[in-house]
Amino acid sequence: MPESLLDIRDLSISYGPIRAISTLTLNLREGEVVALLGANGAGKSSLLRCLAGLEKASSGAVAFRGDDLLRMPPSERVKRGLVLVPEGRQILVTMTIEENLLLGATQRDDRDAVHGEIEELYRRFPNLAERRELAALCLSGGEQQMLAIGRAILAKPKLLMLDEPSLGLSPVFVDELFDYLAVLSESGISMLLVEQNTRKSLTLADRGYVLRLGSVVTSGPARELLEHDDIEAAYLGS
Amino acid sequence: MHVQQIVNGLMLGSVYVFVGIAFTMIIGIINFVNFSIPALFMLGAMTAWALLNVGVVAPLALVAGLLVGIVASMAVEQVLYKRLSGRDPVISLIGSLAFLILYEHLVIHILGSDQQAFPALLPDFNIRFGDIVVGLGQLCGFAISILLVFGLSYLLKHTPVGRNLRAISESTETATILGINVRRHVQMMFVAVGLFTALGGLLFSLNYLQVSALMGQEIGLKAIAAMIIGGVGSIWGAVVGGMLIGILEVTTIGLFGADTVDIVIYALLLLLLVVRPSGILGGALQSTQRI
Repeated sequence: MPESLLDIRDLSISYGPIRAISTLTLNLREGEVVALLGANGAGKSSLLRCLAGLEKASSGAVAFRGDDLLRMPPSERVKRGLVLVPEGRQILVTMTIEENLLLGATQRDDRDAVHGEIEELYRRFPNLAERRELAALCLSGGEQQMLAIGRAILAKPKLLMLDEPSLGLSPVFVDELFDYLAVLSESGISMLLVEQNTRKSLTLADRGYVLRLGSVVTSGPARELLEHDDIEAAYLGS
Repeated sequence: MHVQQIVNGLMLGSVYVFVGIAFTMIIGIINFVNFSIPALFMLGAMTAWALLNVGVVAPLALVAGLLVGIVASMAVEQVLYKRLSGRDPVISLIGSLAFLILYEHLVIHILGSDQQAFPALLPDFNIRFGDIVVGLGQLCGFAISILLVFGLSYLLKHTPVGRNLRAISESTETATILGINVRRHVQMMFVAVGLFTALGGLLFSLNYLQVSALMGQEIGLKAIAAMIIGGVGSIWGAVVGGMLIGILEVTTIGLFGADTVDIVIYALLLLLLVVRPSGILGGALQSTQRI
C-alpha cells in the first residue's frame, strides 16, 4: 500500500465564533487524487487555505510526508511540495507570463531544470509561449488557469491542491483542464481537488469526501460516490 | 548664476532622493507610510557626530551611523510587523509616528536638542566646470544617489529578489502561496530603508556641516513632498520629485529669501495634487513599472 502523504486528524478552523471546519479527518496516499465535494460554505476553501498556511487551524493535527505541517511557515510547505492553485487563479497580472512561471519555482535552486520545464510548458500551451514577455493581464480566463497550474507545477509539487479550477471556464477549456490534470496525475502528482463539477472531478479522482457545514458527511471510492444518488443532493446542500 | 543654482539644487535634491526612495519603496511594496524614516535620517547623522565628538576615527563613526540607522529601522519592523500585515494601516502609521517621536526624544535626552556643528571631514575641494563650482562632498552625494537609483531599478527589474518584491507588491497573499518568504523580504526592505536613510543623513551632515535631534523632520516632510510630486510608489518619481524640490528650494532662496521656501514648495504640492493627483510620473508609468 502506498505511503500516506497527507494525514489530517480532527482539524478545526474557526473565524471568530464561526466554525468553518470542525474536527475533520482526511487522509491522502501518495499518487492519489481526492475530490472534496460540498455546497458553498461547506468549508472546502478554508481547508485548502489552512493547509497552504493562509489560515490558522484552531485545533487538530496535520502530517504532510510525516512532518507536522501546521508548524511550518507557508514557504516551507511549498518547498516540501504542498502547492495551492488558489480560487480565482491569482495570477500576478502586472507581471509577465514568464515571470509568473519563474515565481512558481521560487523555492527551487536548480535553475537550469526550471528553464527546461518552462520550455516544456510552452510547448504544451503555445498560447502562453507567444506572449511570454507580455503582462499576464492579456490572458483569457482559461489561459490564466493554465498559467496558474503551470506556475504551481514549477514548484515540483508532491501534492497539488486545486480550488475550483474550472470555475468560469468555457466547456472547451474545462475539457482541456481535466485532460491536463489527468496527465499530471499520471506523472505521479497527488491532488486534492475542490470542484463544482462533481461528475468530472469524481471521474478523475480515486476517492472523494463530501463536506457539509465543515464536517465530512460521507466518503469513499470515487466510482461509488458517482453512482450514489444522494451526492448531487448533498452537494447542492438540499 | 542660474546654472550654478540648478547644480546646487540637484546636490541638495539628492539628499531628498535618498529619503524619498525609502518612503516610496515601503509604500510601493507593502503599502505602509513609514513615518519613522526622518528619525533614521537623524540617527545616522547624530550617531556619527556623537562618536566623532568623543574622538572616534571618522570611518568608524560613519559606519556606526549607518548601523544605528539599520538597527533602528529593523526595530520598527519587529514591533509593527503584525500590524503591517493586518488590516489596519492607520495603526501601523501611528506606530511609526510613535517611533519617530521616541527616537528623537531619546536623542534629545542623551545628546541635547541644540543644533551642533558637524566636523568638516571632507577636504574643502571644489571642482570647477567653467563658471560652475561643485563641492567634492556634494558631487559624491549626487553620484551615490544616482548609482543607488540605477542599482535599485536593476535589482527590481532583473533579479529574483526584485521579482519577489514586485510579486509581494501586487499581492502579498499570492506571493505567500508561491512560496515567497514575505517576512524575510519585508525585513530586507527595512534594512535597506535604514541604510539609505542613514546614508542620506550622513551625506547631508558632511555637506551642510550641521546636525540636530530634530533635523529629520524638515527633510522628511520635503522627501514626502518629493515622493508625492514625483508619483507615489515610483523610484524614478522620487528622483524627479527630489531633484525638482532641491532646485526649487535653492532658486526660491535666491529670488525671494529663505522664508519663502516652504510656502513655494507646499503650495506647489497642493497645486499638483489638484491638477495631477497621481504625481508627475504616477500616471505615465505602467503599473508594471510601479516600483
